[in-house]
Amino acid sequence: MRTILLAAIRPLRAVDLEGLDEALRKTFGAPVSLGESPIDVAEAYDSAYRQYDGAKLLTRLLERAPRDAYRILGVTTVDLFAPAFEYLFGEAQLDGVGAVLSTHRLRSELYGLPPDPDLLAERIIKEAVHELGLTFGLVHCFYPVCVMNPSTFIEQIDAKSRDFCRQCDATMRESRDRD
Amino acid sequence: MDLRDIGVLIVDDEHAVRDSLRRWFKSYGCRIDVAADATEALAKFEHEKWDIVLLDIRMPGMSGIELQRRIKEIDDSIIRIMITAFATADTAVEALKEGAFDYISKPINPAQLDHIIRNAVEKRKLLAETAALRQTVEELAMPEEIVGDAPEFRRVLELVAEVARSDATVMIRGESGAGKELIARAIHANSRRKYYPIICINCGAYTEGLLESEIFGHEKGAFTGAQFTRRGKLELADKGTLFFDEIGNISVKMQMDLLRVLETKQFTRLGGERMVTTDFRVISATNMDLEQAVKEGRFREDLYYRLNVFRIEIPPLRGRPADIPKLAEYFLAKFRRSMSKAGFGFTPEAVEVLAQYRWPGNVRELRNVVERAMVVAKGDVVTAADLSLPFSDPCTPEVDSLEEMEKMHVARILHKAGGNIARAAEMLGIERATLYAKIKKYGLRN
Repeated sequence: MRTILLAAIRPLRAVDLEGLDEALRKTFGAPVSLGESPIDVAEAYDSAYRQYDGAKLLTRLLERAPRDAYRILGVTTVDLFAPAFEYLFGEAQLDGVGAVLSTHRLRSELYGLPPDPDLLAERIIKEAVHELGLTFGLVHCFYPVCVMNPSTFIEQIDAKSRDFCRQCDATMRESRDRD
Repeated sequence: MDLRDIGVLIVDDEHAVRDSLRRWFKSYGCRIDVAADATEALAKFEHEKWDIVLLDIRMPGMSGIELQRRIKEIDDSIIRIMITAFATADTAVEALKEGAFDYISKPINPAQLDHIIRNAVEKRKLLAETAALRQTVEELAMPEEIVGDAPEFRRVLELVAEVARSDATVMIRGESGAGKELIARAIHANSRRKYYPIICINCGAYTEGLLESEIFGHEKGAFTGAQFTRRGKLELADKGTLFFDEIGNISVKMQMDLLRVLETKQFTRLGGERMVTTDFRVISATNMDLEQAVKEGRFREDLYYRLNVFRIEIPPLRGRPADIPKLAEYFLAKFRRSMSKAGFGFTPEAVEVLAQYRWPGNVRELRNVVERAMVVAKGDVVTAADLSLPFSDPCTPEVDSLEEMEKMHVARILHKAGGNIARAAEMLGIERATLYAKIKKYGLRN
């Protein structure tokens, strides 16, 4: 059975991701198994950037994933970066198996606003769908409300929906049926 | 916007930077490659085309600024974006002065890079559209109705190509309907003025007063009815071409005014005081015997010489009979499309009739005849009868001797009979043996 593994990375716990598994199941039409990843984020920490290397974290996630994993999405609270970039919302294997998503920059508090758990939950769903979409071979879409619209700043995430546009949906289904 | 057709080259000496930028652009669906230094980057241009290049300013060996200059020499339309970890105003200004599209500092803000790339792609798209439009203009260099392979007509086209390169004033001579305006347009379309308008004035279509206003324009209130200021053809043709058709029809006063404008390139609008300067190339045309008009004092000699610097004579259609079937076929295809009559054709007899007719109205008359024939034709074929040419026997050949006339007639009947000797002999009212003898005598092929 092709199952999407949803892994909470410490200090995040599986219970913190309840609701996300159901949203992913509906979007991708595949069962979602919610669990906790044993990886230690400290392995991906970069003292020069004082952030966590998204590519390294993804590598660690994949190393510990089951061999026959259909898809795996790790969710972390730490702030991710890539060597060229100030920050990342997530990192994914394009047309691959794994992706990692950070909730750090999805929190309203980071932008001087009061905490908003519902908004945070919605943002997490959108970014989770986006990163998993990349693993299905989808690329960034310029249709503004498509979930595959690039996520480069928070307002861009809020402006899009959690759904694929017609073209991206067709591509995703084709990719899923091919797997 | 779709970045899937975009080729992006990343040039940075740091592997980790190349790698993370590669992954970033791959998620946009771009075609991507990387290079660690300028030498490797320049080698990437040998076999592939790139739309966007991201260059680190500081690299071992050739700097990003110098590399940017070299890439500009290869293809100025490539979008060059400079990246640096050392953000100084000086390096930014230097890069932009050298023609870089934009400048970004490491660590890169993803939102900023996304914005720059979208703008870069938009610019690239606009550059491509402009290039395509220019290409279209280049391809329009020969108006499609200029059809002809006959030596007499090829000579005209050679003259067009020759004179188009210069700004010389051209006078086109030819019968009515021979294609004088088409040739004027061809000269314009092949000239350096092709991106500006060609303005046509039919001097025979206006009264003197109206023609003056058309050519020079007028100020508001210049005359009764002049409610608004209006720019004339001289102004509209600025940087372009002005084509005077039927130039022989203008009055002596207009000739004087025109001569002054041609010499000074300055004029005032009717009722105006302000001097207007304009730059245009003049092409004129006439089917009149202008030399005779000059002799008789009806046309100014100085204007004649001013207009007649380069002369092109267009042969009448009957002077290039080999082009008649081609032109007829061209018009047939054109009207097939506009009338939605696919599959329309000429019968062989119709083609023969077209080829033998004198065409006093030249190409214009041929066009009208074909159009009319397609309307009246029954079925999907134009017959000789559909052509309805004015003479009762449109096949009357232009020959003097009886022998030539007989030869052409026998040939025509043989063709009509589809090569069937018995049928052709019956149509001619002669014996088969007699027909065979005539075929042999005139060297006709059956």
